[in-house]
Amino acid sequence: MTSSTTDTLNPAGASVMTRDTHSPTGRQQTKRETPAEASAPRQGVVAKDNPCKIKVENLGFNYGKFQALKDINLDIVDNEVTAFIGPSGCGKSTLLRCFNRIFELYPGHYATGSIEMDGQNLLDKSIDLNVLRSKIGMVFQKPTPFPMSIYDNIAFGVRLYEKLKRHEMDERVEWSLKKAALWDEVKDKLRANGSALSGGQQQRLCIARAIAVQPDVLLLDEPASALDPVATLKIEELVHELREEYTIVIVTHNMQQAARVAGYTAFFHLGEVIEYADTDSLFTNPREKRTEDYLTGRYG
Amino acid sequence: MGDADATLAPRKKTVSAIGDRVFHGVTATSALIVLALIGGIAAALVVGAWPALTKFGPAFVTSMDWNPVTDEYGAAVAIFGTLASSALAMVIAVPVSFGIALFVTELAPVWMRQPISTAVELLAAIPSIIYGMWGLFVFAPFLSTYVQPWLSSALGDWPVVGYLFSGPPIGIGIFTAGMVLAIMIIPFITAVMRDTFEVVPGVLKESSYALGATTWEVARSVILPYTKTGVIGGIMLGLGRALGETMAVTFVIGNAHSIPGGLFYPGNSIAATLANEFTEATGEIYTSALIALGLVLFVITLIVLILARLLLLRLSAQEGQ
Amino acid sequence: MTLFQKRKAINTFNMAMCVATTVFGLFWLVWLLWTLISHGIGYIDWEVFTEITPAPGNDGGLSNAIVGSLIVTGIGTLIGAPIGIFAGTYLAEYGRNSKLAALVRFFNDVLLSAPSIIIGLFVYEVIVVTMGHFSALAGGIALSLIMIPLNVRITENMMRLVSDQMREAAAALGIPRWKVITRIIYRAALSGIITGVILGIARIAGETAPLLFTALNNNFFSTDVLGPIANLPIMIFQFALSPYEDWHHLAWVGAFLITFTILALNVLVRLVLRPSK
Repeated sequence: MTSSTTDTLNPAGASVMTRDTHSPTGRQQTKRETPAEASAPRQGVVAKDNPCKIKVENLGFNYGKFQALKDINLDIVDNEVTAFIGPSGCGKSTLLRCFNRIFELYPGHYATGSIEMDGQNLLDKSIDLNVLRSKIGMVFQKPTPFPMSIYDNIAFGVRLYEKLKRHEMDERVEWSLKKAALWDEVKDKLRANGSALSGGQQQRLCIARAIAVQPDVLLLDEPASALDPVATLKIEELVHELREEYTIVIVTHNMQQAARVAGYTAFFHLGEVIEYADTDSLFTNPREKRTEDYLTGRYG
Repeated sequence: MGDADATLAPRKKTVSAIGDRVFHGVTATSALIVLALIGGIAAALVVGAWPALTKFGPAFVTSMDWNPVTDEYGAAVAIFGTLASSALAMVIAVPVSFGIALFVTELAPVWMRQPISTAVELLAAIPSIIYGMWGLFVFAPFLSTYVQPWLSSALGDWPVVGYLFSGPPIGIGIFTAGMVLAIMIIPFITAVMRDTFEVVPGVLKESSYALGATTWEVARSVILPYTKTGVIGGIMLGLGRALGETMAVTFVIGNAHSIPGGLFYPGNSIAATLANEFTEATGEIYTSALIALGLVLFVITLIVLILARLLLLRLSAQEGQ
Repeated sequence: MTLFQKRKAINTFNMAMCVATTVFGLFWLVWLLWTLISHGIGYIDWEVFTEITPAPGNDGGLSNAIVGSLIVTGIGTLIGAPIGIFAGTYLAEYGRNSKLAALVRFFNDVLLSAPSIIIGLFVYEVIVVTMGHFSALAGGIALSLIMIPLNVRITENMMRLVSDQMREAAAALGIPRWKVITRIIYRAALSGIITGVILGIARIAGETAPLLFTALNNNFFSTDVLGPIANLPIMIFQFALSPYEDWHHLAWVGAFLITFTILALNVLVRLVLRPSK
């Protein structure tokens, strides 16, 4: 992290604070920037002494001629839950889809700038996409169980990257299903088809599938938007559990959900990050008028 | 950087990259084969037809000669027979298909729709040689005994129509070929019409029913205008089928190399001529003339089918909006 | 008559016409099937499957034609189905919205309705002339060219029914594209793709025109794929147009067998494999 970027991009007057329950480093002090920096760009970077897992710099994104993201600068904190909120079409999902470059499935979609993880630019052409994606797991809006058994749904991804003995694979499947809080419900029907599960169970299966390959980062793209309230609650509890071991980025259109699960929240509008801060201060004391308008339901 | 390299280093890069390249290559090659086929067919036909085309020139299309003894060939009789039998088939098949499609999408009780659609599809699945055999042994005698005499006596004295329905009631000829073709293409036209009728938004139909329109009025002033391009596309598709249909026509058209004086006279079509004579053709010019006939048929159907597909593409573009 | 009565009368008349046309359209199916049953079923006996096609006036069966048809249809399927499925895969996956894919899609649809006798001419020129003689292989290739466009169409449609989220979810796990396609998308679209293959077999099993100039016929039992081979459609063509009564009977038997096999395949596909809408 170069000092110049940090200086110019630090949120002016941001109250950057980490809740102790969430903070992996146990930091508790509140930092306040000087008003002199109020003219700095509105995008936010969380304090530089927080361990940063993914560093987004000058990121732009185009769907063909349409520019969906403009000059995004953002640090994703290690072992934390970061939520992206904002009205639909604001670019929050687009940014998420840059982290594992899933957008490259579609011609004409391209990203500029850099996304650094562990010192390496993820947008670099030389990176093996499949390896990258095995390091950064993703769960989608609608549950997408593969057309195979529950067991194979999980084992499929693992087999691609690890040669496991049979009992090791059994253990891995059990481990990931337990992590995803699904084991008790499916342990007797591992050979059943994945699509036979309920929507909420399918989504937890997808989460289990994603963590079975042991990624560092989990991307959740509105993971509960297709689920009923009870299933949603389960997913949220799960996210809460998982943040101990993974860096999680969650896109949600549900502000309460962001408030419940995320340590940090970024508010997007029209392809830009308007405000990025720890969740408490963003919700209770937004710096930006547009953030406040959105939070109070004036638009979006 | 060293650490990061270790984590993101392409572990299985070679294997997955090669697999991807091979699979991409295989599928793309297969797709290119489809394109190459159309080009290959055109090229092979032109090459094969070249001796005849250079010998007879443009007159090949207009000449009514077809004489293996003197080695003089012209396509006019076969082209006429092809167009006449297909035209008759369309006159019968289009209204019938429209009626069935309308019945299946608008009128029939829901439980009847699937069985009727399936029955129509089964009609399309029956091989054309079966139609030919049935046409020759069952349908042609039926027509010559019951239908043709009646048509001749009922319409024979009318000015133009009478000319159409003149000729010997022998059951074999352009009329029978057209009838059998009509039965064969009804399922194809019906299927396209049914599919296009189904894309008409329910609200459009409902709002005109809500104005008190009858089913027929909805069909005529809402469904038809909305699906115009698709309906025409479906009709052209049926026409393409009829023009190139071989076996059924070969059995019943009569194989006479002369322009028929009326619908009941025997005639010939391009496809039937090919089916009857190709394997027995001797001599370069005879074979080449037959291939030239094939080329003419290919060009005619290609134009019809391309127009049909363009119309259907326009419909699906309009649907996508 | 008031305007309303007039409108109502027009409507009633036209709706009656709709019903009439439907009856008219379906009437042929019944008549055809009845003809096949009444002419064909009485002459089916064990000899049909054990004896080869006879000389006029002799007893015989259709064993060489049945086996030949199976061989030619088999060759057509083995060549046509993979090419069709792969080309359909290209259109649904790698090609998608590319100009090449649009072009392939368009001409594939044209090919789908192209006259089958033209296909026969093409294969005659390219393969029969090159090899110097008619062969089962040439017949099989001609049939494969009829099968390909059908399978391209159905495979693409069925693979497109699999949601893109499935593709994204698989890619997001780091699964290489070709494995996503072969292991996940194919599996999800399996019943549809098999439907395409079976409908393709049903289609080519009865095709006659492309075999006229390629596989020709053979009055003896042969399994040599490089030589002319007997097959049901051409047998029906020759026997039906012959002047011999007993050849007519065998032609009807062949017509019965082939039609009911094809209809059985069609019904089977609809009952067992058709994905519920």
